[in-house]
Amino acid sequence: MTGLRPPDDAASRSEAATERLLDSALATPRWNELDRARVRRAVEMEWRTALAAAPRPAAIRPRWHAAAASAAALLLIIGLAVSEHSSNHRGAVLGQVARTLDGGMSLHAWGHWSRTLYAGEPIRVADRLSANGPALITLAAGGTLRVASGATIKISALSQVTLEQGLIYVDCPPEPTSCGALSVATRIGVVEHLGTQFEIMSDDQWVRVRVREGRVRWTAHSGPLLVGAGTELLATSGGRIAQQPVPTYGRLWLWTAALAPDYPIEGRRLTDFLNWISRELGRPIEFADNRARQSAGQTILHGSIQGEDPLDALAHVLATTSLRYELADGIIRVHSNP
Amino acid sequence: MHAADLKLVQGMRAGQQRAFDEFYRTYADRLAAFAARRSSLDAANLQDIVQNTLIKAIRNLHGFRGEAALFTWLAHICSNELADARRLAARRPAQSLDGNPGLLHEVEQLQSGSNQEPFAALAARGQQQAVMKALQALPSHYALALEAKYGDGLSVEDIATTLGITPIAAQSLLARAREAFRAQWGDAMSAPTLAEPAS
Repeated sequence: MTGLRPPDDAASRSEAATERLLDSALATPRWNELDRARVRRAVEMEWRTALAAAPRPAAIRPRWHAAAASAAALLLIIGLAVSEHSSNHRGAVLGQVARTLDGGMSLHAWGHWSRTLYAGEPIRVADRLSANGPALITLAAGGTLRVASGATIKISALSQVTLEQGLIYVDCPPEPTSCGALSVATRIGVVEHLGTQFEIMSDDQWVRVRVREGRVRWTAHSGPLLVGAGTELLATSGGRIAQQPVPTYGRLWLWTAALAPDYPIEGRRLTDFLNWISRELGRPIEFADNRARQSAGQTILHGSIQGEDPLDALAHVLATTSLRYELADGIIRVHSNP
Repeated sequence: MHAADLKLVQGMRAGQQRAFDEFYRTYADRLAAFAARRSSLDAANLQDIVQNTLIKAIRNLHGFRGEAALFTWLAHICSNELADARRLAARRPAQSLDGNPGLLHEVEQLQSGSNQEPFAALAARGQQQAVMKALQALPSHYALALEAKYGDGLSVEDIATTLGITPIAAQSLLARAREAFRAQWGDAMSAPTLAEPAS
């Protein structure tokens, strides 16, 4: 008969010491969230590019009960959709989710039902969406809608987004057809873009509109009001309105730059890239000398800046040219290298 | 056969966002830690290594057959990236501190003692390097299992899933890996090291 052996103290001490040693020597500092998100963006872009280039593998055949459940769910969705009130543009595509960070967007429908929307999925008229993390929506008519974490929006029509709460940013580049007649409705009033970039924040009691470029028309009970670039408008539910200057660049707008759409530089002129950067950073471009201006007009870019935010992209692209830049007094000053 | 890993890769190849999300969530941090333990690169270069590793993996997803665990496959790509980075660094002339703000900051911190006692910091780094050296002398599945448990904080169940074995087998593998490490560590400690100079 074998009795219980007492624990071998020396062996267990050695085991514990080994574990302590491995714990302390193998620990590494955690990645910060910004770096993690930046790498993710680049890797996800690569994944999407690879998907677009490769033929899709044959779909995995679903089991019969999964197929039946999917069919039943589809019938339920169709039935509910038909029973909802209809409109001429219901279901029409306003744009698509281009990128989400930290939790993405939820699509709500029929009371408590919701599902996560992923990059590449369409946004349709009548969709109600809430952002669990920042999200970029590219608009089918041109331009982008950037949604801050915590915002809830409803796509009321192809030409109107209702901001129920939170913060969004609308970028309608000045080309004639861009964004069409997009407006943002809030509980207090409506903002119509007039070829512009603007940010709008809404609450039950007040709305704040910051115009970065161009002009917007604010319409409420008190009538229409034009608000120009560099102006912040505050409107309360009681009908009071105040305006004050606001910078068009700097930290107030960093969240929008982090959601900038990708800009394909391959084969584009440096001037076009600088104009894009200028809009994303809210800083005009100024050439310090004629040589710099000519060089920017003649330089054709190659490569990619996918996954880089605008300021990083500016630094990396100019480093490959004969030009350099400085950020000063709200402008980007471009010099030719001595 | 690593069925769960293969399914994840098939999902990514089929364009499933959920599969990509899981892939990035599961492996990006682990690869960053894997690379950090094997190099003295700064944070920016480590990011490049992880990014390049994941991008190369994505370009070659069709080549993953599930015969090895997905992390083993990624770790192999990452090791090649690190080797490339080392070769590149060896070809570059030595830089002055002025051109390397990160290193300059590190040296200033060591000089001022504002972060840690400089000698303690150097000793800790020396010990880390010695542990990694001992790990690298082990069979690779032992090293990966120990890193997963003690570096990445994975549970035995997670390690079992990663390696495609049962939790009992994972527990047993870890015990053998620790035993092998102890033997290797004893050998390493009997030789002179930077952390403990021979008298």
